[in-house]
Amino acid sequence: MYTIIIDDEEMARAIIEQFSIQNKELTLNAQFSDAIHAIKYLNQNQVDLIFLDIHMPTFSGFDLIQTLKNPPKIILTTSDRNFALEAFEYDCIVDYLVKPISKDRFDKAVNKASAFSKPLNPTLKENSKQESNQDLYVNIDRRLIKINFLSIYLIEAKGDYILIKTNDKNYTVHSTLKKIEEKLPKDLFLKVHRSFIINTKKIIDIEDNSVLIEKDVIPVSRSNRPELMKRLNLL
Amino acid sequence: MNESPTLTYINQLAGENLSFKSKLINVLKKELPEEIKQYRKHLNEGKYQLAADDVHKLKHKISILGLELGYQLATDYEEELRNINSFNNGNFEEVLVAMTKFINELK
Repeated sequence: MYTIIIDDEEMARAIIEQFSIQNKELTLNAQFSDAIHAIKYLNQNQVDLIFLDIHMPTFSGFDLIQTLKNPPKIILTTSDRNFALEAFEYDCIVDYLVKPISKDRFDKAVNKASAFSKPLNPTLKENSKQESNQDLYVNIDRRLIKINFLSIYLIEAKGDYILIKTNDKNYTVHSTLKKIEEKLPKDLFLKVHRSFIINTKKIIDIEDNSVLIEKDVIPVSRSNRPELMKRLNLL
Repeated sequence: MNESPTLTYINQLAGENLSFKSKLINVLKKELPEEIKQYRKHLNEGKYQLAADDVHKLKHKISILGLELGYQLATDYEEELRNINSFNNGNFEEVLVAMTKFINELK
């Protein structure tokens, strides 16, 4: 992938330059200390990937993205550890790196960009689409945290919050069951009670009006029970 | 200051590549004083938003030199400056002085 670096800090450019040289996926074409010169370059040259500093004086990384008609893939760089990724609103942004950047993290981001760039045959494209739809990003303490749908076994309403339980960890998120229900794959998740959504693949057993998921016994309301029974492969 | 600057990150990054290590140190020696000068100028002129931008930029070098507490202080101070307040100016200055002393002693 042909790439350029845009960062007003020489130290950051030197580090990314070195990582780029070491990464065989990348060919570093140019580097810029400000966005204006980069835009001029991009108007005349095509690149596959930009390492873009968000926080630059006068013209920020986001300002630059908005000026590009067909932006290439972009990996954002930032010194802000609490950076909340509203950036994923832009399709061109594939990842972001918090400075100081480690080589491993850099390579991971490049792999991600590379996967985005490769032409896919229809089957792979469909698989990839499904794969990208397997994750949910939730906002916790100004960070967007990725949760794989398959790892979720239960979601419980808790006032203005929802508790998302996964195999590894629980997440408390400021949202509603209705909102998250719209984002969940319908074939996997079912609202069994006004306060609970379950992953039907994680059911251990069902008894009368309750269902056992992992170690949680969850009530099943009468109105939702028929739909739950329909989902089961009954003998 | 309860912590001291280190070259741990730069050493890890460069590994056995001494020319790269030397390049990073040279960039640090050149760029850090410029950034500090810029920050002090903006602060003295009462240009708090610009001073906050300068602190933001300095955070990278504070992290590179392994100053975890310094990074936290810089994050809080940047926020203060954006709210037209420089309460932590003295504490932040201590971090800058420690970093300057450290890089001046590097060969």
